Amino acid sequence: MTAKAATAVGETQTPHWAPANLLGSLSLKQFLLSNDYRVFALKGILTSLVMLALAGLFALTFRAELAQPDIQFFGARVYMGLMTTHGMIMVFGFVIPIVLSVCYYMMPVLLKTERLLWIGAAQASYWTLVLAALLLIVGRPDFTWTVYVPMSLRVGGDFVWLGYWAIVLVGVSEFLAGAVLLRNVLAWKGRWMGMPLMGWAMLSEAGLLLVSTPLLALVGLYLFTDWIGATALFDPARGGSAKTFLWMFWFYGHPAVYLPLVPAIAIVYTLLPRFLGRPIWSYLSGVIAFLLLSVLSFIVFHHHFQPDVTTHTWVQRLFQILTLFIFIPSALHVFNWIATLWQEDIPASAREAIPFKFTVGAIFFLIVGGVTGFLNAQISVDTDFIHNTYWIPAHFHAMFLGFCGQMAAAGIYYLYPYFTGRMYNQALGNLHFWLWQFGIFAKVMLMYALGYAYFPRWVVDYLPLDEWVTAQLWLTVAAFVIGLGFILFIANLAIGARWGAPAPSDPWALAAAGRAEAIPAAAN
Amino acid sequence: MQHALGLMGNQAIMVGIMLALGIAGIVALFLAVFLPQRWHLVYRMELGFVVLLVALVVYADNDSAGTYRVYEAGLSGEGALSGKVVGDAETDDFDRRITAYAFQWGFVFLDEKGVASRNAVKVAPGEKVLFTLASNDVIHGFNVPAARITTEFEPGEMRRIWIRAPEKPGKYLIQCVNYCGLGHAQMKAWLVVGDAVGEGDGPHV
Amino acid sequence: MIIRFWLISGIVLVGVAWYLVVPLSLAPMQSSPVSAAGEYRQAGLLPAVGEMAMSREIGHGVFEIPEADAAHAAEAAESDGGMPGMDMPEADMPGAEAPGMDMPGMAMGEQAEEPMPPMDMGEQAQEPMQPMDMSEPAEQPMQPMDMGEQAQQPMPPMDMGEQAEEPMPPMDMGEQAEQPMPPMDMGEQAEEPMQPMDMGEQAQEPMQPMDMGEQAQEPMQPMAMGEQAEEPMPPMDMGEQAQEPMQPMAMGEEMEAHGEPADMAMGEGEHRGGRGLRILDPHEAMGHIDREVAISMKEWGFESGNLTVKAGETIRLIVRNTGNIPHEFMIMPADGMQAVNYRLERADWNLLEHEALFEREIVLPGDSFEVVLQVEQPGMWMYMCMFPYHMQFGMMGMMMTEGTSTDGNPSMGGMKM
Repeated sequence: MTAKAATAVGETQTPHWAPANLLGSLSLKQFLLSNDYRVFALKGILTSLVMLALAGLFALTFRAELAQPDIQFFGARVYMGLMTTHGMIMVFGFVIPIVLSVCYYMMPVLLKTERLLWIGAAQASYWTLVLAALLLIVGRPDFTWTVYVPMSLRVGGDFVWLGYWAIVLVGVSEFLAGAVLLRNVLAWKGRWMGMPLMGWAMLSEAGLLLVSTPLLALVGLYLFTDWIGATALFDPARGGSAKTFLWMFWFYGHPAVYLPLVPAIAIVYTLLPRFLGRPIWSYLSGVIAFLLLSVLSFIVFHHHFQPDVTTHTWVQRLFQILTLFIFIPSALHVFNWIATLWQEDIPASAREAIPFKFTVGAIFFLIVGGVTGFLNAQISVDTDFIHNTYWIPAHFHAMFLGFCGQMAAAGIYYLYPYFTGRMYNQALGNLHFWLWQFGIFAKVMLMYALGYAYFPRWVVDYLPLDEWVTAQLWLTVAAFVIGLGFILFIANLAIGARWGAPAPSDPWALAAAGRAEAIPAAAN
Repeated sequence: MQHALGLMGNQAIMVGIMLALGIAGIVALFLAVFLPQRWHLVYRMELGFVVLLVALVVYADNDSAGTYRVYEAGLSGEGALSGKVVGDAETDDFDRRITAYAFQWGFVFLDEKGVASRNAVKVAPGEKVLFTLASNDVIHGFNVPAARITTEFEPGEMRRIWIRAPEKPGKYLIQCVNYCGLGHAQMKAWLVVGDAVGEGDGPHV
Repeated sequence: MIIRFWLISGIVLVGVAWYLVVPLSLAPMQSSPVSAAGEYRQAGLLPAVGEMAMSREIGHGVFEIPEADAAHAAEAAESDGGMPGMDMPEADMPGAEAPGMDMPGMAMGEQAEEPMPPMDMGEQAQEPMQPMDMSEPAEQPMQPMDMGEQAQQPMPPMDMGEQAEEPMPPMDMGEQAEQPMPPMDMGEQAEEPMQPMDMGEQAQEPMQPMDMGEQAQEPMQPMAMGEQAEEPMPPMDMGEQAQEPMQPMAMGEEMEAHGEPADMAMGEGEHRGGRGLRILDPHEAMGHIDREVAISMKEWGFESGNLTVKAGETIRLIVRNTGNIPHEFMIMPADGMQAVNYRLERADWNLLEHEALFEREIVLPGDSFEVVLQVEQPGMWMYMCMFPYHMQFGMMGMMMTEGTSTDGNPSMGGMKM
């Protein structure tokens, strides 16, 4: 593939799908400003990894406090500042942007546009998100990532408005991303049923982004205007309603959890055929699952605040049924992948490949996290040990870290030779992989156990109950294991870029596996 | 121990189904990756899979709805701000009616006579207790692990739940489970299940 | 090159962010909400203003006093170098050295470096500045506090470590573990009730018989026997102390409920008093009240600031909750914080009890109550609301007799140690 003529600042001349030291050839200005989609995607990836480091360090910090009962290092304000920033930066600054960035890298070739259309909007999306992160850090609010009112209007301090505006900016950034994705998907010129599954995924994602993010931006805006007293939409004390907030926020909040999931699923659909040398088992199943997920994700969100009624009427029952249904599209994806894996031999080149390992590891966690969705959806079970106990963070860490985070790693490892011209260190990669499997598994299982034992969320300290104390200590250990894996990941990326073995022209032995091109133009 | 939602039996089945599905999925994944034998699934199998999942959905929905319906039938009247203290003594079978007033950061429990206690509520073993939950300021949660129930409520609302007090006397934990400000982690109370003899008649005068 | 830029800028950003969120965390604070109590009163869910009675049934058996409290109090007193209340020339004015940093239970975190600026206490200039509880690492460097306007600033919690004025403070038997306590001749120390004695670690020797002398009128205050549980107490000659039944000793057992009519609206254990303060029955005290003080409590402070009282006077406090959150009202001896500081932010705070001279457990927004105090001797006390974080936000005030000074050489009466 040859590069197109430069369209804007710094478009590079290196070929797209031959391993080349793209990263090494950039000046700082080019890195920050280039409209070459690969550089733009790399900028997103590297920034998201910084966000992961930031929010991850915060996690290790509060994990150190939680390792034992009683207050050792800091009290509730510092803890909640850490927890709020951890949650927001992880969701908005890491897990969504990183998988989107990997998709930005792959989309133009898959969809045959050769560049990212509306790159200006994409750049605006990136920089808005960076600004949002900075506002959040400076504001360091303590109102949790779900910003429930009236508490979020009451938390003290003159800086809290920075937090509200960070939320608005995230909404703006994500909306722009949705517009960019839609524009690029609509540029596909072939038959719709011939479009790579990445395209269907990005169409689904665009729908999620465009419809849900205005609500997030509005919520942030109304939080600010309520706070300054210009409006009284959410504040019950002045005639507003916290329920209005709950309905508005979670209308965004449920699609929000699919924002990282859908691109991560797309990466699986893109990598598996390449490593296995065969197409996905059922293309149609993939398309249906993406569309079904998008539609359902807008009509299930009451389950997040399910216990807010005394009597459950047909409204809540409908939400329960739909929530139970939304487990099905994800199950279809998993079925599809297992069938793809099982139908023929897996080449040795795939088995050794770190990205392939991470893909399998990610699917493992999608199953672990996903089946609990079946329980979470049921009102009577949710009312027992699930709602607002550690069961919930267990579920979403399995999904966000176990699945989405690992697919991001898989995508990055896959793209690595293409943007550095070298291979990372295989041993380090393996170590990263195993540390994460054990660390994430221990973390997720311990959190489920704690949730089952009614350990509450958002607490800086806890009673020294037997069921809680040992689990919290081991949870801290697991977190540090994950942190160590992350350090090895970064080290691998950094060291390999300079000292890694030069990558062969077909780094993933795709030709040997039967795939002629890195990202072939053929269907899926 | 009695459970408010009578969940023990049903819940075990649901957890069992979840575990079975999860283990089946993981086993299938591992087999697909490691088993030397290959298996080309026919498309009909996915249809069968979908039918199975839909059946599970129907089963789970019915079970869950059935459970909470039985539970909510135990609440009488509506929970709105009706101007009336809820829990009509003639039509319900509650042994005790308690108002739990949640605030930043603690609970005040009031019995039917309006006698208050802070961060502790005393009930007799096995009693059916109606809690009317009210919030002074922000959204609070109310979780009684021993009764396996959780709820949340905003200022102005009156949330009603009932529990069956544990049989074994002792102190049981009540905790707030919605982040409500800096004192959230400390917002705990005791559910005191006293000896059956002579207690539960209200305050001594 | 990009990689290098990425790594360096990443590390810098992460480091700065961590530093902003942890050591430079913003001060814990919350604005006062608007209470929904009014709505609920209208709905009949909450009793009307003035009509809420406190339960008798839920007594001290439910909320335990952890044994560690006594140990912390003892440890804190010990770090004064001996008996609190004795003449302690070394008790320097806590100022630039930020004393109390080694107080038990204060997690210093990263905040150990800041020297505390000298504080201007207004009229309290004589008083040693109480050590501050630094458990939240340096939200901001401590501002000089003007106690006059104490409502504005969030006052960090005070730890009353080294104050030295209390006459007849609790006797901390501390290091006196080896010696059996010599017979105490209460001698002329007749009028005052014997203050609670904290037997601390004096576990080895049985207590010698105490001659209570003329200490007749007042019931003996509860003695916190702490660990002195093994030895049987020898008979105490109570002298004429016949009228009042001896108060139950707080051995950690449930105190019997007093039979107070519900309309007295006074809760469990409210008659405790002690340490120079006596709580009187408002009905009986009618006619003997020297003055009335209105105290209003709200978020986040007591608008009345500090109270100056005269030894011997009888005061009626009318305490009103003019805020938006339920509060409690509690009176403690000035050094009472030492016993509980270590667990102030712990998850079990609401589930445990703490010693107080007077406590009104709940005052709903808009409600009020009254309590009659008799100040029996010069001293210093604190009143506060010890709900989680309320005190840290500023809900605390001081009550002290005029002229209470630093160079504490309190009269010990005829007490020979």
